[in-house]
Amino acid sequence: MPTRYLFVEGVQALCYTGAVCERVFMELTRAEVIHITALCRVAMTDDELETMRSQLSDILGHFETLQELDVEGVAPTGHLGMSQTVLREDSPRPSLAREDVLANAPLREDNYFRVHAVLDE
Amino acid sequence: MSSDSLHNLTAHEAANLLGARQTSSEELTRAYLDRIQAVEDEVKAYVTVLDAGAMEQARQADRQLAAGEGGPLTGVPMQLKDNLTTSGVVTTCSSRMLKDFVPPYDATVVDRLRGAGAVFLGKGNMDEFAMGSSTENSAFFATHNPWGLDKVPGGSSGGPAAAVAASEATYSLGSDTGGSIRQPAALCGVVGLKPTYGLVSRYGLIAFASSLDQIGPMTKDVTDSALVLNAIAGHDPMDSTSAPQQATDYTEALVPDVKGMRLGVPKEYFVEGMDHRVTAAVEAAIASLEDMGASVDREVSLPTTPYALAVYYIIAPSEASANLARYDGVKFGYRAEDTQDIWEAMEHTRQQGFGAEVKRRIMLGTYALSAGYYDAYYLRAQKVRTLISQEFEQVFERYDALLAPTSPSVAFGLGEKMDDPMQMYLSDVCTIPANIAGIPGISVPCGFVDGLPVGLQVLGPHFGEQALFRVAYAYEQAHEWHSMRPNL
Repeated sequence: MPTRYLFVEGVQALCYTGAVCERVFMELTRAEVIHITALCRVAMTDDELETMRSQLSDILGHFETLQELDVEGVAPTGHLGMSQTVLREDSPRPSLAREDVLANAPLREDNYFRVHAVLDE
Repeated sequence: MSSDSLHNLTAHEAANLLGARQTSSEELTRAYLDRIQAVEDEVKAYVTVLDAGAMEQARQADRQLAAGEGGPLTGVPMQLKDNLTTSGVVTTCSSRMLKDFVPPYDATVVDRLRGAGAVFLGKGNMDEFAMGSSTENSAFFATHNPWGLDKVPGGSSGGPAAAVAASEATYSLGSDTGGSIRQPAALCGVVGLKPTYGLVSRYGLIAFASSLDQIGPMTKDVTDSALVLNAIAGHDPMDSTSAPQQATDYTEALVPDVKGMRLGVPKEYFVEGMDHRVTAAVEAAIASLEDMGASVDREVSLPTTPYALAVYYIIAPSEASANLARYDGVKFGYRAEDTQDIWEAMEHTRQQGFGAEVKRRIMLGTYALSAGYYDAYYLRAQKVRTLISQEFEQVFERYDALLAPTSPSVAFGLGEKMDDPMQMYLSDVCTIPANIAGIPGISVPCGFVDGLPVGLQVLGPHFGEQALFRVAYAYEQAHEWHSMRPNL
């Protein structure tokens, strides 16, 4: 598990992820930020990475307040007002016209979206 | 009425003139297009103006009106936030990613307004993908507050709020994920309603955070808010989260009387660091409702309120990181050029197509959902979401509605908070809890500080829009704020 540096009242301490810490300022590492960009597939310059590292650290530091609350036994809310899955009849109906859909394709070849090769030869 | 004052009308006033044949939709629409031409350079509320399309819709509305087939919004010119899809009309979300995107279908709300005979003047500027509180995150240009052109209009529905305040539209539709209708409404001195989650179909609203997003009216007064809600509310088979509610005529709630209503003031909404002059304006509005016969309890407490901001800025980015994964440069939207393989194409498309705030939220959400952090952030936030919702439920057993400020400050200066995202996030502190719990909220003008508008927020229980309208209407009718217009 990756380590994170925590600053407690000005004293730098080492903490492991998942530990409950109160009133801490958390610093993301550059490696962690690179890992996130890889997960969400967004390219970034070195400058962007550093700005992101510092801003996300600041924001996440504010979120540590959530660790204060006792949520033992509380059910999570994922979606509001949906007590059950909504089903509809599986009846045929027209979908969007092919030309309308392909009209927005950035790269197109005949009736296909054109992309780079996905599979190796 | 002279054509140079037609643009100052509310939708219901315009409809009355149209019904009495004292003006035509064509004349009215022309007056709005002229008004846009006159002030848009200063306000910049529109991404797209639909001159020809609007005039065509106006002529069609005039034929309907002549045949006696008009409804309350027929022929009335309005604006749509640019994250609502319009068939055949570019819908950008104020993003480079969708700069040239022409949707092949209408959002359900657009379809319903079309059916009601509305005239679409154009598409309103916004923070990119509705992420922001100042409309400065638009990839194209910032919108200026009509009450102070060096100030932000709020966000993310800053274009709609500014357009209505500057009389560049009778009304507009916005979307509210964490306050994006109510906060700009407050900062621009207009009425903004975030309906109960599920009351208005989200089909065709370009997704930001699906469990929080809701479309609602931004209007010059409360009567218009009820009229527009009548037109757009209701179950939609295309949105499985839309509620199977019975149709309601919200104008029936427009009664200028709050006698006997039980109103609560949650003390946590008067946050530390709040502008004391805003506090004073909101407290005066509360006292006014008390004078009008409502019973007001100023000692209501919602203790989990301070945690709502953190819950929101975990849940909304998490959902956004999933929703925005669709922008990969393949089926629609921007695509980076000169890439070598499928991953580079995706990574460069997003690097070039998204602005800084959108990337920040995608990163934040991806982190909160990633292995090792899911329990500590996302799951914990969802549990606190439950606590916040339960607290509202308990409080609404004792009160018909809650009164609070909409925003802790009046409109701030352009550029003032752009370098500090956390400061920007804090401007949503009073509006976010309603989205977390899915309850409705309305912002109604309640005064000015340094010539800039202040908003009173009224919150109600799920599907308690009638109570909101009654409180907001009674307050509005007892004051003159809603009839004030900025000098432009």
